[in-house]
Order: sequence, then C-alpha cells, then structure tokens
Amino acid sequence: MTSDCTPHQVSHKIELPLLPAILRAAHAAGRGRFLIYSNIDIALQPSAYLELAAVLRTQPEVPISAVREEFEHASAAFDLAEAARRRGRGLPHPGHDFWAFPRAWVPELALSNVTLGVSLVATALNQALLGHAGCRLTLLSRQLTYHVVEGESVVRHKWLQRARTDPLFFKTYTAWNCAHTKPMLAQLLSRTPAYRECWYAAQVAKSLHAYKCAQHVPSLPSKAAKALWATPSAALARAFPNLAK
Amino acid sequence: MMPARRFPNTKPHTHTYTCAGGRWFFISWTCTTTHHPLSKKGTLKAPHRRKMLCSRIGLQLGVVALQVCVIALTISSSSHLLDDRRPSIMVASVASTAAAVPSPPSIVSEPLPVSPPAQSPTARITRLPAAKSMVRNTSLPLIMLVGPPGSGHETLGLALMRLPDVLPMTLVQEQSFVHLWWANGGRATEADTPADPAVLASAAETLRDWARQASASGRRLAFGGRGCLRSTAEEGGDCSWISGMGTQLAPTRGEALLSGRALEWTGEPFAFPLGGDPAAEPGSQRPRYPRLGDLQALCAAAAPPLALRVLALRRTPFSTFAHAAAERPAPFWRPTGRPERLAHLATLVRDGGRRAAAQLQQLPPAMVRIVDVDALLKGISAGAAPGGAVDATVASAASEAINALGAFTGISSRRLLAALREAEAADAKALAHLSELLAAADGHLPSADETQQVLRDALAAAAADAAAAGWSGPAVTVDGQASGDGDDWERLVGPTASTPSGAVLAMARWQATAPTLATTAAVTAAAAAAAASAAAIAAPSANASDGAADVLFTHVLNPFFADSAEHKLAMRLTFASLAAAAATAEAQGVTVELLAAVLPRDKGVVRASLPATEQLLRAHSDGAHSDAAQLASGAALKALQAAVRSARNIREVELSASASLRTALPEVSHKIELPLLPDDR
Repeated sequence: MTSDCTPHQVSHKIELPLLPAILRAAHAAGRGRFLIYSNIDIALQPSAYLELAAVLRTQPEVPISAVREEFEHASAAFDLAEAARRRGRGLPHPGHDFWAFPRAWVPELALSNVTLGVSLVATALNQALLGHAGCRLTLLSRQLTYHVVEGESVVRHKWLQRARTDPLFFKTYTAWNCAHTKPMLAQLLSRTPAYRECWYAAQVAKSLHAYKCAQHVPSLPSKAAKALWATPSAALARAFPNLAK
Repeated sequence: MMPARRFPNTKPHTHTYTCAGGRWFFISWTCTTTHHPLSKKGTLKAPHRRKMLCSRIGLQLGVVALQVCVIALTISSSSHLLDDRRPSIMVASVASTAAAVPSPPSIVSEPLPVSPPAQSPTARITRLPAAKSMVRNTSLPLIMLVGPPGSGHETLGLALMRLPDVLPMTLVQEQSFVHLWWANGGRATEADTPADPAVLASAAETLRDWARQASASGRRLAFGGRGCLRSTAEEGGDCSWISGMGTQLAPTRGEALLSGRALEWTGEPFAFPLGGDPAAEPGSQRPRYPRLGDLQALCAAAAPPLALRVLALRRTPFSTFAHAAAERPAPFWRPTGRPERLAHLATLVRDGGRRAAAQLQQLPPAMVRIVDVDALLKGISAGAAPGGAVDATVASAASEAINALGAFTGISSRRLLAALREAEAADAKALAHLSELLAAADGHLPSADETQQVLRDALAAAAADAAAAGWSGPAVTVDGQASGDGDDWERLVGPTASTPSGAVLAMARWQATAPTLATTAAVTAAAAAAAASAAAIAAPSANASDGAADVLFTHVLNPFFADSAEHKLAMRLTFASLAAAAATAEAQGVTVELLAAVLPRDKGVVRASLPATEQLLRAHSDGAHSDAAQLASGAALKALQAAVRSARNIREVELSASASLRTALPEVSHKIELPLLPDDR
C-alpha cells in the first residue's frame, strides 16, 4: 500500500515498542489459556481462531507460528469479503508474524528486550518458544492470516525493504536486537545443554552471523547493550565457538 | 541452446574401467576424453594430453571414489537395475523394484515415442510431440529425491522447480522438515531413532497445508529444490522465497524482472541430500539425514493419503564425488585445509550413501524408482545435440526413462524433458566450473599436472580419512580380487592403471545380487512402523483439553496512531477481521479476548479506529450475507452484531513509556522518512 505522501516529504519519529513489554502486559491483563501475538498489519480469516483451537487441542504444549499470505494489488476498497474470496490465492509469505502459545509461559520465556519492526525480532521469539517447548513448533501455512498491499509486496523484493536499505534499521536497530538475542541463546544453552541439538539453535547462530551482528553491535551507543552482547558464555563457546569470540 | 557434452571435431574416445570385488563393491567409471568432468573446456589442447590427463586423474579418483561412494553400489546391489540387455556404457534407466506390495495409484502419462535405434538412427527426443499427463485417482504424489551429496539433487531439484506440474517446497516446509529430521531433544537423528511424536505431528500439519494447496492447484508435491529466486545483481545474496513461489504459481518465464534486476532460480538443492551440509568445515556440523519412514507415515496419515514417490538418485562413485566437489563454493577450495575438507566431503558422501541404501530397503518397492542420473542426462544431451551425430540408443533409452519417470510421478513427460534439458546444461556448467575454482583458489591457472596433483593429494587424504574412520571395505582390483586395506593409495592405483580398458568394459555392471530391497519382513516392518507413526500423529495429547469450549485466547496487538494510509488501512482491516473471527469463534464456543497494548502516545487509538472498523464490518456483512434465507433467519444480523460487539470490546492496556526503543536508546535520532518504501518500483 503506497503512502499518501511523496518520498522524502515527511519525517516520522519512530517509537518502536519492545516485544517483551507487550507480552508481559497481555500476560498480566489477559485471561486466556493461550496467548496470541500478531503484528498490527496482520488480519485474520473468519475461521482462524477455530482452526487454531483445533490444532492446540491436540498439542497444547506446542507453540504455533502461522505464516500469512500476501494479497497484492489491493484497492482502497479492499474488505473482509474480498479477503475471504482471495483466500488461498495470495503469495505465501514465509516469515513469522503470528504466534500462539500458552499464556502461562510468558514469564519463563528466554526473551530479552528485542524491538518490533526490526530484523531478528521473530527469530528471538521463535528461539524463546522453541527453547521453552523442548524444540517444538508447529508451522501453519493454511492461510489463516493475510496482509494487504496496494502494489507489489515488499517481501517479494527484499532489496526494497527499509530494513535492508535504511542504516538506522539494518545497523543500529538490528544491532540492538542482536545484543538481546545472543544472550538468550547462551542462556538456553546453559540452562538446557540439549538445546544445542535443536535445529533452531544453529539457525539463530546463522542469523546472528548473517545480520553482521559482530560488525554492528560495537557501534551501538548503548554500553548496556554492548555489554550484553559481550557477556561471556562457556555454553555458547562450546556450541558455537565463532559466535562466542 | 544446449551445450553439447563433447568437444567439437573430436572423435569420442571412451575408456571404461571397472573394479569389482567383495560382496558389495562394484565400481565403474567412464572416462571420455571428449568430455571429462574435471577438465576445463578449452584448456586441454591436444587430444592425447586430454586422454592422458583424463586417464590418470580418473584412475586415481575412481579408486578413491570406490572407497567413499558406497551408496550407488549398495542401492544397485539391492535392485534389478541393470540387465544384460543394456549397453555396458550406462544408459538412462529408471528401474522398478520387485512389486511386493500393491501398486501405487494409477497415473497415466502420455509417453514420449521411443524409436528403435535401428529404424531411426537419428531420432531426437527434441522432436517428439507434446505429451499430456493426468492423475486418474485422488492420491496426490509427493516426490522425494534421495541420495548422498553429488548424486543429482542439484540437477533433478532444479528440474522439479521449473515444472508447472509441481508445487515445490517453501521455507515453511523446509523449516518443518529440518525440524523433524534434525537432531532433536538430544537424540541423534538416525534412521532407526524414532521421531519426536510432537514434532512429527507438527510436520503433519505442515504437510496437510502444503498438500491442500497443491491439490487446489492440481500440482504434485516435491521435495527437491529450493523454490527461491535471487537477483542476478546480488550474487551470493539472500534469495526470495515469495518471488519463487509467485513465479512458480504463475509461470511466465522472463517476468521475473524488477527495478532493472533480473531474478533467477538459485538452483540450490533441497536441504536433505543425505549427509548434511558438505560446505561445513570439518567437524563443525553433524551430518543429518531424512527419515524416509517418517515421510511414509506422514503420507499414509494424510487425508486423503498421499502417494509417496521416491526417486533414488544413482551416479557412478566417481561422478558422485566429482559433483559433490563441484558444488562447493569458492572458499572451500582455498589451499589451507583443502585436503581435510575434501576428506570430510568424502566421508559425507560415503555415509550418506550407506544410509540412503539402508533406508530405501525399508520402503515398499512400489514407492521407489532408481534414476541413473548421468545416463539420463547423457541421453538428453545426445537427443538435443544440434546438427551432431546422435547416439540413438542412448537418446531412445532416455526417452524411455523420462516416460517412466512421468508415469511414476504424474508429471508430463514433455515438460519433464524440457526441464531436464535446462538442468543438464547447468550440470555440465557446474562440472566445468570445478577447475576454475581450483585455479582461482591457487591464485593462478594451474597446469594440468598441477591440477592433477592437487586432486591426487586431496583424495589421498580422503582415502586415509576413510580408512581412519574405520571404513572396512576391501580394496579391490579390476579383476575382482581383494588386494589391500583400502588405505594404500599407490597400491590401489597401480594395478588399475595397468589394466586395458577393453578387458573390463564388459564388466561394467552394477552388481545385481539377490533382492534385498523388498523382503516380506522389511515391508511388514515398514508397514508397522508407518502405522505406529500414523497413530502417533492422530492420537491426541494426554494434556489436551476436553473440548473447544475450554480453549480461550487472549490476542494482543500493538496498534498506534498511524501517519500513513498504508498503516491506517492495515489497522482497520486487522481490527475488523479480528472482531469477525472472534465472533465466529464465540458462536462455536471458543472465547477470545482482544487486547491492544499501546504506548502512552497511542492511548485511545482503538476508540478512534472504531468507526472505520464498524463500517468495514457492516460492508462485509452486506456483501457476505446477501442470501435471502440467511437474512430472513437473522443470522447475518446476529453475526454482525456479534462482530461489532467484539470490536467494541477490544481493550486497551497501556505500556510504560520505557517500553519503546526510543526510550531505551536515547542517544539515537529515531527518525525515518515516509513512505516506507522507496518509490522506485
């Protein structure tokens, strides 16, 4: 969906929320057995809760990540009926933006202060959930959720994403999330050595490398964040020697 | 245009060396001076020199490959792949194993005509008419490629991705099955180690979604290649799964162009060639293997059941190792540590082959076809060579093989042929790239002797590593007599090199021993394992709630006062859709509470959005419930009222001011320019 302004006309002050704060608020204020978090631009098909309930009824201790489909070339009149008509015909988006898991887990999750809207935030939450669930996660791609764009999807063309083109995002903000993701990996490895055998541990290590965390974190203007990143961990050093350097 | 797999104006000169011996080992590799996989086209001037180089390198590699590539040998030893009617130089063959279980669902594919060579010596498969295929029953095929690194994943995977008949895996399937087949819960992922039932059940959910999508679009499922597109301007960069899927679902070749950037398939093989990631540094990664039994169980448990179609990839040991090496990226070839990396690769190939063979033996033979990858590609190349002499026997055999593949998978033979042609070109290019990689790594273009020495040293280390790892296969000579421990490189090379090729040509057969692929006991065991796994998938958890009425969701969002039309519309859709879905769920006893966790500056955003949300819900109600009966019953009105009620019940929860990055990182100027996307699309 294009903006109603032309490029470079409006400067917007960003106030990105920290994900753990949102989950804690929902844990404190909510009553549900299961907590769902989804990004604000993710809409649901009418049967979404029912289908989630059916899966969770079978495996209540296995968290769910439901991947969305992308409806491109949507007009301003796009509505729920059109979303229902298009279901199953959008672009399948492989990213994570919708999770369901037991609400009681929130205080126990190995999730530090990662921020929304920035690379690695989904990785951090996946890591926390897999770590808590004994390396289990159900990935659903049954078009329970969708995202609407006016033109072509930005996720279709990664090089157009702000997260990859704006240094504020791909350096500073991503470095922040790096600094809050690596210590949680170390914590999981230390607390449960078997987590080393979970495929997602290697995935996180790979992501920390792919996002050039070691290169960008030293530039963070936050001593606390840098200290978090540099916290030594014997468990991490054993599992991923290159990451512990 | 397809590159011919031969040097122009050069008479093909083929040597086939064969080593056989022991119960399990039988090796054959073919060295053709006009197309040697390790020769860089154009760098070898004299035919004689090519011949000599080919012979020397081939002899050495072939013997080491004997030690490292058991896969194809073991597979072939348990099948009836070759019979005496085939030429000794391998022809394309797709062999069915003995049918010990009921036949798979009837799949009919209009075949490519196969012309007898004697009647049509210049027959080309390029001229064959279009073929149609159809699946006559409701069993959706799921195609799985099985073999060690280098056995053909990269080639057949690429072909599968290009086929409009096939819905390739996406990142969702890749992650789910990596999850399933990675070491999990501290257990090594071995074929004989049962899967975590919970992870198996999760994979079943993923497979169900994938099958549903494939069924809706009339496609087959295929593990095989990564359906990912990468910008040609970003070599080595990330690939886009969504572009890959978009192109695959709407295949208009050449449309993959944006902002002046062309997109191309990455060509990466699926993540599960048996043996893990050969690019990994030695010792830095454990090998991992798919469990075919899991896939068998998942297919059986699907509703309706899926028809598992396993393509067991076979290449000569020499070719397997050469391809596995050629697939390695440039850093793999840097001189420091190269012998160790090659030795590691050899181990992965060897072990992957063993495990593939062991697992294939557990599958019902009706699910398995063995594909002689190089022979198939050779046949396709022969049929496509423009203006050149055509080996009609080979081309005809390739057509026959493609027809068999099409019938087995339900894929149009014509389209399969077209896709394989493109894959064959990529395969030839990849092999030719090997010596370039070596040259680049060493900082200069090595002479033929230097190249030979590098490979010789590296493979000697690989042989030593194989011996040190406890591989106890007997060293053999061409006459089939055991001659050593397998770790004496020179002793192995000597007798092989001195053997005239003609004397062993007739022995170039894959050993056909007594059938072990489908014994009754194995089939019974596999069926029992499949049934147990299926039961594990279907069985509810002991902790499961008693019914949907007990399930209560707290759904939390983070709305904000948006500056852009993009965000405003997105939030309006989100609120309305959540309210409608919550109302639908409530009607069936699933209660949902909606929370909006907002930063202080966004307090009141839910109330401010409510008019637009309600407007959207009313529009939806008008559009979705125009049926007279529904309106008369009041169902539509009740649904609308419930949805509006849910929207009005969205509860705001205020976060503290410190719960934002702006507060957490006060030293940074947190400003961006709108719109969110550069306007250069």
